[in-house]
Amino acid sequence: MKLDRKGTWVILAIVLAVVVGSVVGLVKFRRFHGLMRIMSVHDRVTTIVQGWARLPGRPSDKQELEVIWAKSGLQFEFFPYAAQDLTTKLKSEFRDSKTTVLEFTDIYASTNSSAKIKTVKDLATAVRQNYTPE
Amino acid sequence: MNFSLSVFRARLVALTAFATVVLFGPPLLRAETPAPCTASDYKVAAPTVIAVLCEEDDVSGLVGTGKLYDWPGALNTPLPVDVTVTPYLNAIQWLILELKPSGSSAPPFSLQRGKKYKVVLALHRSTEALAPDATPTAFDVEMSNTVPMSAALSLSKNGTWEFVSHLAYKSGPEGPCTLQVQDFNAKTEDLKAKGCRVAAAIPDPKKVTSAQDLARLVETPEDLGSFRLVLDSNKGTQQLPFAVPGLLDIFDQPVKIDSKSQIVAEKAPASKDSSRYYVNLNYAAGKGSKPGWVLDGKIAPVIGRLFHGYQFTPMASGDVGQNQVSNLKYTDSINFGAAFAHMYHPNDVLQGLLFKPGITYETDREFDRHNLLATPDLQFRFVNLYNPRQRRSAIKFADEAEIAKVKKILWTRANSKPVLLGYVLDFHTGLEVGGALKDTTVKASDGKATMALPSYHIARVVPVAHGLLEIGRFSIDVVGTARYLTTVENTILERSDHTLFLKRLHGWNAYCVFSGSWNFDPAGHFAFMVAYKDGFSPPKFSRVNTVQSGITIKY
Repeated sequence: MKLDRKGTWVILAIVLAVVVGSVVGLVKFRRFHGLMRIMSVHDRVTTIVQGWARLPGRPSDKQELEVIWAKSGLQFEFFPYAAQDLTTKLKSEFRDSKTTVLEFTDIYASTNSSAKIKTVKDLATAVRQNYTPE
Repeated sequence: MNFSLSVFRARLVALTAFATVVLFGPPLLRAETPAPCTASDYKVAAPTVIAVLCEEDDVSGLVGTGKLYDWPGALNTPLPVDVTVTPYLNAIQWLILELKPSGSSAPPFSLQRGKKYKVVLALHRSTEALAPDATPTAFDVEMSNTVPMSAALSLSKNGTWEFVSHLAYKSGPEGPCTLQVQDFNAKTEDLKAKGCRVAAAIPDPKKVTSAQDLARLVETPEDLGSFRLVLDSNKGTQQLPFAVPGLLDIFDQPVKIDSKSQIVAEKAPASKDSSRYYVNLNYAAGKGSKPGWVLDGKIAPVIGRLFHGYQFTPMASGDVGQNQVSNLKYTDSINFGAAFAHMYHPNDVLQGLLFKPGITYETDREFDRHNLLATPDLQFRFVNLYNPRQRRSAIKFADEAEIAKVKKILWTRANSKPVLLGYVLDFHTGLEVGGALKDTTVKASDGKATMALPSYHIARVVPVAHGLLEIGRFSIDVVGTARYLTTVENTILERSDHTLFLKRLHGWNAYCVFSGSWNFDPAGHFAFMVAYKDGFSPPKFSRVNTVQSGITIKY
């Protein structure tokens, strides 16, 4: 039995839909699976810092955010721009919080020396203090 | 006193030796492998469950057993309790200790409030056997419910306080509550507070007997023993915090507040204005002219919160002077405006793209120009072109800290010598689109001459290059602005005899500032600066060709 042109297109369309659907489903499942893993606020914050500064591993509690950023190699100012980027990422991670988890002006930098959040541990503590899940 | 100290030391030595013998058996009295967990904090979640924080980055693969001792007390005999160690399911730096009576004949056990214990643990990876030379993890557990209060780390959360205890809280007030304070005469007063919350309450501590029970109840172990409130005002803050009515520990007892705590009014940031503040007061001189002064200032405080990653920043800047001299003039410009800014990360070559749309009102010291402009600006940060001393010093410190960590030397940024050289090179492309709002009349700086300045449209393309070279405390900064006027703009200029004339401008009008400065202080807040300005700058576009020297303050 020979397929006509229309039948070929229909089969191709079905195969394409199945492939796209599988890929999308797999990605969604992986994301969902990732969400299923409950993590403490501290661990979620260190994961965000790791991605923010493109670190190969999790940062340690004592590491300073400004130093981590300098070492990351990204070529713009830690304060305000990198601090704003980190704040945006944290707000997205903790978007279920009724209160704002962090303002970028809370992050210490040589040019923002009145702020108190200097290390990874300070950041995790501040986010935990401000995080109010709905 | 000396006698009791020596007894204490003897007991400590005896306990350490004994613990090693008990846990690992003779003859292994010498430990060579470092402890897999260095306990830095603990939380008593229930009378038979303790959560332990390790300094190590990840202890999620550790398991083990341990013993519990009265401390100080029967140092040679462990309590009849078996300690089982498992990882905290949700937190990779935490372990959970389950305390159960040893054997079926042992009496029921629970930790007692007010007592002190010592815990000694033998830990190993779940995939490996216990190393014979492993160092035990030992730490003290103090069952006190006297807690200090401390200010929240976020300055933006003004008035927020946290009461952190080693004992978990059973319950506490939610929403509005009161903090009782005491004066020197033990007279108490109630301070009103809001947002009161026990972060992780253990409503029925007796039902929490295993790691699974605890992990199911509390996702973040740091939340155990954490109570937060926001004081309505700083009134009464000189007094001693005394109690929070309704705040109970897991033993159903009211929590005491450490009398050493003091509600000191939090220090605000140096000030929003001063944190984005620049003042440069100059003394100017030119050939064949009287000297004058120039004030070059800028205020750009950060206001409000990030909105979809964009930050709102109002801005006021001015470059004005007195005793303007013939042929040598200042830009005489005053700008008021505001902008939103967001840094994008396009790729590894163009690592930063700052998009900064804004609006600017452009005038001069005489306020006879009224230009309103939309000012979208793009700043390009290419790879390897942003390396100021501050950043290079931080990288140097990070490298040194890694070596110091291996050699077990405490190394801080204060110990690290800053690098000598730093540099920055960035480029902008902007637009200035708008117009002069109305016709105005311009007066001469001396005499009675006046002239009408007709309104006009503005559409400028503004490429900018900025370079900075730092050599120790000395720095050279160059800003080159090549402004192209796509429409004809009007300006009125003044001759040396104070007569006025109308000039129509079109095409390129470049402006360059070349400045060298020497910082008085290491932080670079105060500097002596010499600046050379040359070119044409809006709104007047009068020729500027001047050398200025003065003091610069930057915050």
